[in-house]
Amino acid sequence: MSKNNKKQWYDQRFLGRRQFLMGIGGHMLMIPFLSSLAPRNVLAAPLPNRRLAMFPMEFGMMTNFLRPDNAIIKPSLIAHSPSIHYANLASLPKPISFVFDNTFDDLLNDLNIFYGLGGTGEAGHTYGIFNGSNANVPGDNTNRRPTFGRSLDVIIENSAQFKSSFSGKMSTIRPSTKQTYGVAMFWDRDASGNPIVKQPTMSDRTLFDNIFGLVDIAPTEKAKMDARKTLVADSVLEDINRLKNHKRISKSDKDMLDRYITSVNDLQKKLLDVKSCSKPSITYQYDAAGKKIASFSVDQLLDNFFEITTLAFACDQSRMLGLQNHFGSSAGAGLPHHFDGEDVVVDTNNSGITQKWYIHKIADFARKLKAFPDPSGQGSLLDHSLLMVMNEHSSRRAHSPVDLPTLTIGSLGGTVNSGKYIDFRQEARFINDSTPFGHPRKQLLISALQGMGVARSEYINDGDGNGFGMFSGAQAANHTDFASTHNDPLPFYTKP
Amino acid sequence: MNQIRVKKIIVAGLCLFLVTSFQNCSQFESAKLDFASSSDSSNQFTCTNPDDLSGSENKRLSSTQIKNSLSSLFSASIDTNLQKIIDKLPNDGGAESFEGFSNIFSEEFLTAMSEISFAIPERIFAVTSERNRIFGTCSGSATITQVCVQAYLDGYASQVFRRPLSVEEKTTSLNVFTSSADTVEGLKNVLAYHLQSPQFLTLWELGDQDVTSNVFDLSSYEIANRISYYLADSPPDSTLRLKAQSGEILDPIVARAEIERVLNTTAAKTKLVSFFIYWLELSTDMDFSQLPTDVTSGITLSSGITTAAYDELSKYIKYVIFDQKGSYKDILTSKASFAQHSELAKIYGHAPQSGLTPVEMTSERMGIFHKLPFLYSGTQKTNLIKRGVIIRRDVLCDYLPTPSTAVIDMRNDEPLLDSERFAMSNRQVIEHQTKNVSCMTCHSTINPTGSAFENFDQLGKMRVREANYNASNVFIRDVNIDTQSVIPLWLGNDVASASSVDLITEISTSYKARACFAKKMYSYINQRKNKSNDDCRVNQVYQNLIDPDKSIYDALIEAVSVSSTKKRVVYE
Repeated sequence: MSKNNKKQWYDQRFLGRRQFLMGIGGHMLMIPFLSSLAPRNVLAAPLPNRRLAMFPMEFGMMTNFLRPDNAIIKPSLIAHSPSIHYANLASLPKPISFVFDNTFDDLLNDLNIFYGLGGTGEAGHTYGIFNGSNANVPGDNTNRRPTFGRSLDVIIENSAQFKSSFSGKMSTIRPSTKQTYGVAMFWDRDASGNPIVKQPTMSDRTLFDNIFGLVDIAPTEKAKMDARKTLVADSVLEDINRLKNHKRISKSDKDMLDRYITSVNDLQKKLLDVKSCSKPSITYQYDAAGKKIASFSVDQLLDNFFEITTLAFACDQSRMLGLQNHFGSSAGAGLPHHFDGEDVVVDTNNSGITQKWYIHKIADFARKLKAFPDPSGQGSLLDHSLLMVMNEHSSRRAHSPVDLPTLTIGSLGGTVNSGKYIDFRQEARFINDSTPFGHPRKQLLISALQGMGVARSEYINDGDGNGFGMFSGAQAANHTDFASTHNDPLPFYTKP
Repeated sequence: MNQIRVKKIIVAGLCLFLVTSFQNCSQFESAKLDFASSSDSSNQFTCTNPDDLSGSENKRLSSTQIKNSLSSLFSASIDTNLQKIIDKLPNDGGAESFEGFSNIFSEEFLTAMSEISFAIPERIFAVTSERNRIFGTCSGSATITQVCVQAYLDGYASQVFRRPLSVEEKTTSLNVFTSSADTVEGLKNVLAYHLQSPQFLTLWELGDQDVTSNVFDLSSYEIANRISYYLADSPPDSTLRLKAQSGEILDPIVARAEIERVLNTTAAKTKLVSFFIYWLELSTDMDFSQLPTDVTSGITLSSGITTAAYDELSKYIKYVIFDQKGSYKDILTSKASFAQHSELAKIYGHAPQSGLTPVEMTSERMGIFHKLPFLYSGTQKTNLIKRGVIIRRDVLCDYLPTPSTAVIDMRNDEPLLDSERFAMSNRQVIEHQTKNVSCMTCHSTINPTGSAFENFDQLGKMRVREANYNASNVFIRDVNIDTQSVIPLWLGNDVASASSVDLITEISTSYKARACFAKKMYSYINQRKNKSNDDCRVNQVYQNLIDPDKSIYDALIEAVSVSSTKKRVVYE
């Protein structure tokens, strides 16, 4: 969908946007009605809600094209500290790069481009990117428990998927069935260079139904069902409280029961919020039988995913999105997994076009969020969201974790700075462009977590025992300066 | 098999890093599995106090266990539509491996359970015979009485909670009933409440005696639940329930007999196959689409081949363990094949099997490691490293750390030209890529082990030459295969192996591999990592595996028997 020539679907539905948003706000004042039974530390997050969208890319992204050319950027850099320099993106010559073209020109104040974030974990592989989410690293049976905080939609959830990814597929984010939006798109390009979807793990129709399955229920039936659910939930909570008072219940058992309560609370809140959501008039690219429609368009499919996500964010049906762009084959035409990321001819003629297309789609999504007022009445959805675009390559053909290119869009409720090019290279230790040591990227993930409202106490003991994300082996060796601070949010980027 | 002893030489002057790395790669999962040869029968389990117990958290049911429980409770009510709703339970990894299982009640999980819990009573009330079976004929009245509900609470509800309901739980249930819009909806709501309750969704083990102690006796119902869920991922059947109700199950002899009975159920056999899939990290989603055409030449590949391969594997495991009462050696070396699928039979080199009797595989092929699920690779090359890693890590319990990024990056230190690569075998390419001393701390064991299987291609077919292809899967040339290795198999002693047949034969009779298998089996049954104070019980399993008069079947019974101990310790 073009940003200019298509009317937004929320204006086309039988509820006006104003009425739609008022409905959400009204319900938000009523919830959560089970909060009195919940432990104090697991109550719903304060309003407005914050959202996190993660876009890991399995194939090599062109490092050089994802940030301004050094010759352009260096004269503009402002020293923040000996190891951190920055430039305001709005002040840089346009376009910033071939990949960006001019698509971010109206988003420059929301965008960040990072240089000098690395050491993500196991080989820089996609699952390495998510070591910050406590993914199970193949060969490491420490049973890390992935969670983005119990008051959030748990998205990147199951370690088993990471494990299976090791044996062939790299579908890092587990496609889920309900409320959870985790999609891996396997795609290729046709002979004309146009993107084609080979194996999306979820159709747009299925995704919508999974998230908004209650939308089409008649109001009287909804009310009746809500009453039944409330009655049952209250009784379940009696069971939980009885269990929690049992003398042989351990701390971990209580923790498990607390998480149950939190999930029930969030579910009840969603039940109320979803009442205000109505079906958008998008053109599904899959029919009810799960087949692609005759005029299937991958552009439209991705637009639909983003339309649905926008609605899910607005209606608080989901606060996280994981969309992995996966190229299906290392050997096929188009963009191989280990393509030569610094070959300009290849980049501009082939993979560069593919990458450009995808980056522009993400920019369109950010634009969509920016155009949608936040239900809290404070700014736009984008103002309270963070989009993270990540990659697992940074050098030619290799999963080098050195300086993995990273973009963020949005300020996550004002918890982080935006509109910056941020250079974290520690100049004292800078050797050359292939070993530009900077901050551990786990700190960026920690900034996002904290911005999402996850308390430090919830992640500090996770992962490999070094807090959220990995900090061992090469990660630690390359970042010895951060031995005592690697579990802190990223400086300068994160607002106090 | 020729066995030669080659003393490892630690070259003086190696830097501390390398020595440390080498030691890391040489040590075993929980140590004390340092066997000097396949015939080294030293017992390396540390058992100082047989009564010492490992604590573990109370676990919620996995999605698989919930589905099995619902099927057991309401099978006659589950039609296609209800099954679709039940299938919305997220895949939580519990079926494949406890290592990926999270004990969290996620929103996604509870959303699915909420929908399921309301859909089931609706469906029950649509099937009169089922409604009467579960709630009694009194539930057919337009106005259902409290007496009717009480009968359900005293009766079928105890199957839902897998134990009789407490007074408080009955009171809460009656409150749900009386607070509902009408009595029919009230009874439905009661069941919905029970299905959403953590009492149904969790295998609580809290004992039933009012004694204040961190170590306490499990109740008879809790022991019955352990036996049934450990073995079959399913709730106790009627026989087991009765023995729990009467308390007979507290008698170890009765419990052991019940374990053997449950082990022979279809559900337990299915779970046993899952153990092997977990143990050997077998790929259940084989994708053949990227294979070069001449690898698949003569074989008509379809999606059915994966199903056929696992069907064959399942029959093979059941045949060796249940029909033959086979040993550990048998599961690794039996020549039985049940490949009925014509294309799978071609891969295995025999005519399609039919009937109950297996066909015999060729002399070069034997046991579970020579079947497609283990040998499969979906790429241009065989998965030599994966084959080697599984043998070392899962079969021999060697400790293989995740390589650091620095080590992985060393693979590309000396990239090969295409002309060089096309003249090399897969083994030679991998040896080149991993020749750096840091890589070799682990690959010195992985590479020769995996190389032994190089006479089997990506589909598991025998081959005598190896083909090389360009990036577009176009054949360039073929090269010789070399399966001979001197494998550092035992502590301080290497073994000369001509091929995987030699390697498997050596492993199949080794005490170390059986000790490892005992650990893996015990861990899987308990759905958690072993702890040091599990050694006494793991040793009991191991003793069954090394006893020439006993079988894997006996070891399984022992593993569940020692895991269903009456005692439990509060886990913190």
